Amino acid sequence: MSIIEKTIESICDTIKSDLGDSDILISAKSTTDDKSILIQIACMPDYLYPALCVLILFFNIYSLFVTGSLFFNLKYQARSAFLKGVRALNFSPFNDLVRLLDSLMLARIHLYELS
Amino acid sequence: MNCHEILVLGSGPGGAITASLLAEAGLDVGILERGSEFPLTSAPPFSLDEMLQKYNHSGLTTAFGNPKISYVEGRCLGGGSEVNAGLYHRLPAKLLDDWIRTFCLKDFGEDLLQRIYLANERDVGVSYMPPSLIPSASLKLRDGAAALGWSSLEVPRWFKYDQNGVGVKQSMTETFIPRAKSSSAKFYLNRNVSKIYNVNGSWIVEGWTDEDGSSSRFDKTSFTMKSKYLFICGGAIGTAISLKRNGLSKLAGRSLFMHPSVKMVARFDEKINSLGMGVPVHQIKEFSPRLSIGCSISTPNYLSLAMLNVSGGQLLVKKHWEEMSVYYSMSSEGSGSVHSIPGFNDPFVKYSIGQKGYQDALDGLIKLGECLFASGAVELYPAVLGSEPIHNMNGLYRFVSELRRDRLQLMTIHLMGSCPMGENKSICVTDSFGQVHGQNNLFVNDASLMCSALGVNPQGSVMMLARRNVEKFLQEYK
Repeated sequence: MSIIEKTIESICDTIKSDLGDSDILISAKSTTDDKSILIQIACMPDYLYPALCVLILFFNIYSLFVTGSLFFNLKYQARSAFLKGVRALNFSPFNDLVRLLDSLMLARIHLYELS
Repeated sequence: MNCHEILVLGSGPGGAITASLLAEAGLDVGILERGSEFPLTSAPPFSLDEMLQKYNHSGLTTAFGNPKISYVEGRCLGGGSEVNAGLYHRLPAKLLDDWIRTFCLKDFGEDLLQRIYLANERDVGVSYMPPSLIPSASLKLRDGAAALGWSSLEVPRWFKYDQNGVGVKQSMTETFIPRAKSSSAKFYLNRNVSKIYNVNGSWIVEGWTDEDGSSSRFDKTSFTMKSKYLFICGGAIGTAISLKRNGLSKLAGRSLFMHPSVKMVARFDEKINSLGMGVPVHQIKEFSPRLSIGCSISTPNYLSLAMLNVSGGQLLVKKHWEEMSVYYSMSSEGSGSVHSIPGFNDPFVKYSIGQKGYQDALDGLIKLGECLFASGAVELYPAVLGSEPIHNMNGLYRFVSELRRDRLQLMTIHLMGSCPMGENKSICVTDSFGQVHGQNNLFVNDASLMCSALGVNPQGSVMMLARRNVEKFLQEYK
């Protein structure tokens, strides 16, 4: 699995766990499938994919700088804290990345919760 | 090589009507569609499954600008008609004079169009929702407008209802596509067109099949088709990029219009929402065409997405979603363009709302808030970055006065005007009936032809133009 895929899966897993741990969506942890998000992301316009890859590399470099480790190598608690910090950053590309994955995860969680 | 007298690229409202009417006139018609065929009921309306099946790029499409604007397009047999709400409007009469004057449009008076509207409205069953089915969330908008003395209206839809009040959307796969099939039109699905050119008076269309929907050129089977007449009906973005990339029009894609919408969630102290609510039907047109206010799809997943920026928003949705609904304010401001990036297949879309569009978005939030508080809302949550609960108009004025443009989160489902029609060749891509200037037997017949933003759902206007232009084509063909 590439760094890109590992990072996307780790961010999705962190978002899912954050929602599940706070009892907002009880079955979020067990029912959603991160792989399907990778499939949906692969459908995005072709010129966006290289930009996404570069952005994710920068995301990991920032993680290395802040935490001393690549994002996907962090334990859940550290990932959750790092993601909280990223959300608070006023840096539009990272905000866009996290919001995109937030939206995709929420759509999936509700598919299972309420269908 | 497959040969037809007429090829139609795209099977949305423009393409399906074009193909159906031409096939019913006895012509040999082939229709190419990028997506697959799905029954209307293959996925719940507005669900994730529907996005994955029927939306272009699974719904992950953005127009770049400040702010970025998310947009969605259909990518399936029937195109946008399969995924939209089915709300019907005629082309606003106040636009006609401006279009006739500025774009030198021929035969475009309201009287001339009346017969065409009626024919389409009959064919897709335009009707009002039975009063007992109108959702409370919709009535809240009507009541708020009435309390403020604003005009509101109930919008008809292309729906047919059985005796039990169960409605079925009359999308293209329920109406014109079966008609085209029964008139022997031939459908080619999962076909991506990459090249269009003319050889000795015949149009040649080349491309590749896309059975898995991945849009990649690699490991695909190529195809070539030939026709005497070619109608491009790929939607505002698809049509513009086809003309531009193949050197068929220098002006294609230089303009693009949308209806950027800003959303707001309202919570009431009573139940107004239910799982089967669908899209409410009331709209406020008091400020039209500058601003239009309406109620949006409000299933729990859409509420969740609209509450993404609110701290504790997901918990609120989980506990109170039946008391909440999503509303929007839609503007007609701004302009965009469609571009081809060398080495990439997918079109790049730019859009700027400008300072006026930014002011409209802010004003839209204020107007929306006034209406919702007037109808009894207890809490509002603007769907923008940095959102917070708002309990009264003073709070909303303060919030909006501090709202920066880059914190707006705009979206649209209405795209139009990338290949405007008319006899003014300095600004129009096609003539008054969709034939591309400078090209023989090449036509555009979809939302691209609009000369400006409409301020209302464009599908009724797209269907009117499609029928009008096909009738003109058939007159001249004979």
